[in-house]
Amino acid sequence: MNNEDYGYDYDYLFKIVLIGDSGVGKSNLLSRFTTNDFNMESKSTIGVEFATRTIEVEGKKIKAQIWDTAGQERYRAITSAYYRGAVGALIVYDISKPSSYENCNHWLTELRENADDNVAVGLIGNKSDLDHLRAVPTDEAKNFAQENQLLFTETSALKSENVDLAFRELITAIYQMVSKHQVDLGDANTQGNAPKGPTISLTPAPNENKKKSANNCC
Amino acid sequence: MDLKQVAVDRYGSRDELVQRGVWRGELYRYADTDKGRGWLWKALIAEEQANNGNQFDKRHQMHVRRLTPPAVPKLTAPLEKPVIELDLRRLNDAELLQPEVQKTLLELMIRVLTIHNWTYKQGFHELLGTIWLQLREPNSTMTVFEKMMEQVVPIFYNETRLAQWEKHIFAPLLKVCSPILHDQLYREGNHTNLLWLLRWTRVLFLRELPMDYVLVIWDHILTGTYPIETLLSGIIVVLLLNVYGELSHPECDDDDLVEILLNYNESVSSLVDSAELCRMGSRLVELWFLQDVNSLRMICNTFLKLRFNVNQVDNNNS
Repeated sequence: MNNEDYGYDYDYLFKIVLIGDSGVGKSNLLSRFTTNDFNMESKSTIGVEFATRTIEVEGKKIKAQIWDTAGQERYRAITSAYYRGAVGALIVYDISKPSSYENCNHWLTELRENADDNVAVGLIGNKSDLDHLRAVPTDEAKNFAQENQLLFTETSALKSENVDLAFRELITAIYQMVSKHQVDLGDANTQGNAPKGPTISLTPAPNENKKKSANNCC
Repeated sequence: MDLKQVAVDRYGSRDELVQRGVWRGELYRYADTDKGRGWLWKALIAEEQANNGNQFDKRHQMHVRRLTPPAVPKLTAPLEKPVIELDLRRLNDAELLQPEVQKTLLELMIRVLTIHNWTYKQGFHELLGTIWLQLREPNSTMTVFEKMMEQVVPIFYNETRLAQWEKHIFAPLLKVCSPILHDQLYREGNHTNLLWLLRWTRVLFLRELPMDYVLVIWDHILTGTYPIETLLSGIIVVLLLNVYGELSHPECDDDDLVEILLNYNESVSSLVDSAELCRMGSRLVELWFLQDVNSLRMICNTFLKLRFNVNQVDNNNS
């Protein structure tokens, strides 16, 4: 895997949250994407974890800051902090565990209640290496994703299949929304009108002189 | 020599063992601390239990007439059983993954949840697994687990209480001990510190510190004369002082702070000795109860000066 690491040098910082039931493989998706690691004995997440990776999309360096949360318990005290500033989310289920898929609706509701209206969302059917134990048909999940305007990918963090793709698609979708938002903003300003409707909640890259070479962020 | 041998050779009573051995740190100077902890915990807790009686039995004796046989709680599998099983399977130790150990741990967990009417939360399993590895026997494992959880669950596994603890105990203590770190961690717009405090407190540093180091802290918790909420506050303040340079760096932003504290084991370059950590943490607690602000500040300033040659100067003190 080409781990494009640009360190502190990036154009955009996107905060992405991983949600889904306990044991569906969120932490291993995170480690597969950020460090290309997979841990067979992955521990349960207590509270939250986060990691980052910088990739290039359409010539821009994008730092993805990915937050991983515990699947069993909802922490009211930190839920708002968890979703605050998130511009993307991946709802993860295990293709061999139907209850984890059925709960995606619940996760989507929680996301809609707590995150920005414009947050880009992907549905991930993880553990595709367990195809012999498949309990969630691909088409069913694909339809659910279409109905709810979600990106959809089946992944295997274990075999490193489609993990990069899933994150890249999401990051690209966010980037395109941001670009469009900037164009809209530009048009609106040209016409002397303030932009209407919900805006993308983008976390501005902090400490410009330290971490940024160029700031194209709105 | 292992902990058992040193304890037997040097101390005539449980109180001596607790006061001098554990709290003054003598035990850790003379013993090989990764051997004999199971015996130590049995010695520390069994005698206490013998003096006080089992809390559960006592509670029931108060409500049940003598002629009535003691009520035995009916064990029912909690709704969280699948999550418990999943979590137990994710314990990162070959011995804990043995089928018979898994079965015992599940039974113990369900028993404790039923007796105390607790809802299972992730983190319980790591505490139980760690205790099992020291004792390797169901009865004493359950005794120590209950002793630990009776302190931890009501505060750190209750979100409201956890937030109150942070607001009314931890943050004020940190502010007195290190206004600079306090201001850094409580800057307006920062992520809530519960993001990292939640894990630090719920699994009692298992994710942040080396195992042998954690077990010394647990010795203190299990023999504590201080309320756990204040003792942990003191210990956490010392652990934060231990990464003072990283946390107070002018370019350390909101996300960096959370990253450092969620990856404490990777962030820390030189860790204060575990017995010293507990001694200083408990000293902070004593001074906090006495509201001796000057001494609290002085201890922390001295710690920073001696360990890192840092002069902690703040607006209140300059």
